[in-house]
Amino acid sequence: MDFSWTAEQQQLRAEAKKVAADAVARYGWVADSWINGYCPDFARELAARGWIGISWPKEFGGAGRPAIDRMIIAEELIGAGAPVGSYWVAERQMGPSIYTYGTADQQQRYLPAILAGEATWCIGMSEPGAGSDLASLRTRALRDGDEYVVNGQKIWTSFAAVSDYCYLICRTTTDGPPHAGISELIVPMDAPGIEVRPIKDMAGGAHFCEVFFTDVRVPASNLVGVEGAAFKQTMRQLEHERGGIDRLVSNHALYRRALDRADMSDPLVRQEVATLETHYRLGRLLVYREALGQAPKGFSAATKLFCTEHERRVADFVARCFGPEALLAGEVSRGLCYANSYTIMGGTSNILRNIVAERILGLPREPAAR
Amino acid sequence: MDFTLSDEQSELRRTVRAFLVDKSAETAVRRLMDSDTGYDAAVWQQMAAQLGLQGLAIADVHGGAGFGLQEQSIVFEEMGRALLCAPYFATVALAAPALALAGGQAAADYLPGIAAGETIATLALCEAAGSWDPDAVTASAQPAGDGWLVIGEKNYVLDGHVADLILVVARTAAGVSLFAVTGDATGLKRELLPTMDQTRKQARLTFDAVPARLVGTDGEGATVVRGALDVAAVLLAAEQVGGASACLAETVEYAKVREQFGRPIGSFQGIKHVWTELLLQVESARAAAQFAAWAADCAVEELPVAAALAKAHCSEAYARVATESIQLHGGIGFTWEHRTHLYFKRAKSSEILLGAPAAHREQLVTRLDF
Repeated sequence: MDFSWTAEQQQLRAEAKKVAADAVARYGWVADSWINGYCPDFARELAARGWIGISWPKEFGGAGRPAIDRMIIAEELIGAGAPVGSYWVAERQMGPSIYTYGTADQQQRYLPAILAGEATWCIGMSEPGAGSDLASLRTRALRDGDEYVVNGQKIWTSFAAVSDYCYLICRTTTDGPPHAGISELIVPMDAPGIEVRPIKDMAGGAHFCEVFFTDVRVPASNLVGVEGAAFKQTMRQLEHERGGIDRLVSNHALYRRALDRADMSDPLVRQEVATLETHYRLGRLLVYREALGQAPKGFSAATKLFCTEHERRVADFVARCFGPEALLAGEVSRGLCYANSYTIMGGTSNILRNIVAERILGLPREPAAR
Repeated sequence: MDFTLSDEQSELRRTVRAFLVDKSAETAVRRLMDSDTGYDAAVWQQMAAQLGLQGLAIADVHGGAGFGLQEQSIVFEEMGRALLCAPYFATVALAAPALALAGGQAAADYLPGIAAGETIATLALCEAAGSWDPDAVTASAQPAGDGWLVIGEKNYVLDGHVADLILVVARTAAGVSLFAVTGDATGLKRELLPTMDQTRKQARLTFDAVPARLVGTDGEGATVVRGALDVAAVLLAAEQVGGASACLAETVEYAKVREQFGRPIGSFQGIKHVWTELLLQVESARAAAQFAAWAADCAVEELPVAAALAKAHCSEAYARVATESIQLHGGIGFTWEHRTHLYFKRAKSSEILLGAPAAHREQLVTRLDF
């Protein structure tokens, strides 16, 4: 047991703090910056430092540093509200998927642009009829010679309007049980037949979209991993998505500002701050444990649940601290509204509770619907 | 950053667990609950002679093994799991740290007896008002010859009825100070108090000009006591984690086998969601307790915050788990015969012991300089 940081890690954190402060000074700060802070210029700066893909293996162009190093950088950048959105999904999930499951050709073709901060990716996962029940997705990619022909609709696809590629979860066969027949396909977003319609979210933003695929032809070589057997791959990506620091400190920049406004002479406020500080500190430990690979198997769903419920309470606290100012349009009210998404995206809290109960506690599955 | 136990720590856990499975089974717990002394003298001797548990964290110059709070926490966690009935917390978590912090000849004289299992000791701080703040003490001490005389009443003294050595917090002309009184001193009246949690005994002690020895420096007792209370909070948090884990595991197993409406009750989402939240409480409590123990050993500047955080959080985690355990068991959980109430009573008594969670949360924000 050792909760200290090495001298190198402390130095890295200090450097990340400086980079974050500098980015905020030049580009402005934004809450939820891994979703709302789209800024390719900043991505290129980070790439030049070697900070994008810092924990990817060296053979794939990364720096081969431990995952905890990436987490230190992410914590400082997102915690300060620096705009990391343009590369975030690609670096967090798509790169690791491609270097784990992809072909050598795919690795050469797609990884360098991600590492350079030049590529924005989206994940085509949810559908109108397949939200929590992902296995029931219907978007299909049927083989036609050397190509797949994609038809269907995705929804809640963050960054689709600005993405270069979509990492598409789709069905390559319609036979068999729902979990079988699912494949992953890299789809260039400029392919003919793709239509993207941004959806205005309740906070007024438009990062997520509907994406329609009509006879979109994709080279068969864009298949990632094994055709029809990608459900496990997809679940593994969700593990990447769930256990991270981005799910704890999305609105930390707002929280820091709110503390300056909090009435710390009020015993109720003091109790609330104590609780928030407690969950923040414990959430960090749970996330670090994930990054070190020392959490129980499958625990990332629990970590995400713990951390995002905290973020939601933070948003509530922030709004109360700002008082009437929170009623005006602005970053505080946007944060208050946006917080409703924390416990939806990447798995809703109620679904995660089912998953944790069944996988970690070993409680029996719900009997099948009759 | 590393969340794993060393081989030596894992071995310690295995050894203590095996010992307690043997010596602190439910039948033994119930027998000792009903006894006046509240502990098994033979087991107490074995704890010292075979395992060296009383002296584990006492410095080797004082006859102990010189381990840190991380190892000591492992022992408390196991004792919490087993609901061990013994004056161990009073002796090892309260009295020994107070002596060690006070230092001087008194520490050199008393700690070896504690380490050897020959001395049961306790800290007499609370009075009728029930405050854990050393500055609230009204008991007094006056110089008399080479020593002192203590006058006053102490309440809620853990294992005060069997302690060979009582560390009394009392006021002198110089301020709050610490005194050693032997269990058989003239003028000392000890009354065993009937407790809700029968696994942890309490006594009321009346001091009618009782001969006493000054421990540490006259007038500097409050600092010593506050330091000891932080150590005790960390160790109680570990004990709470152990109790909460055992209670959670047993309850979840019951939910897998108890059937109603033709299915295991653990397959209902209403059960799953509650117990997933409780798992998060316990896992985060474990992180809190581990961090606090590490801070005590390796980053003592972080101990005040970590101790307050751990005590508040672990208290609530255990109390919630125990409360929900009774709820899940239904009627049988409300009986004397079923063991669930043993956890509940230990959880509630531990929650309030050393100060309720709100008091520790207030400490937390104060110590964070809010």
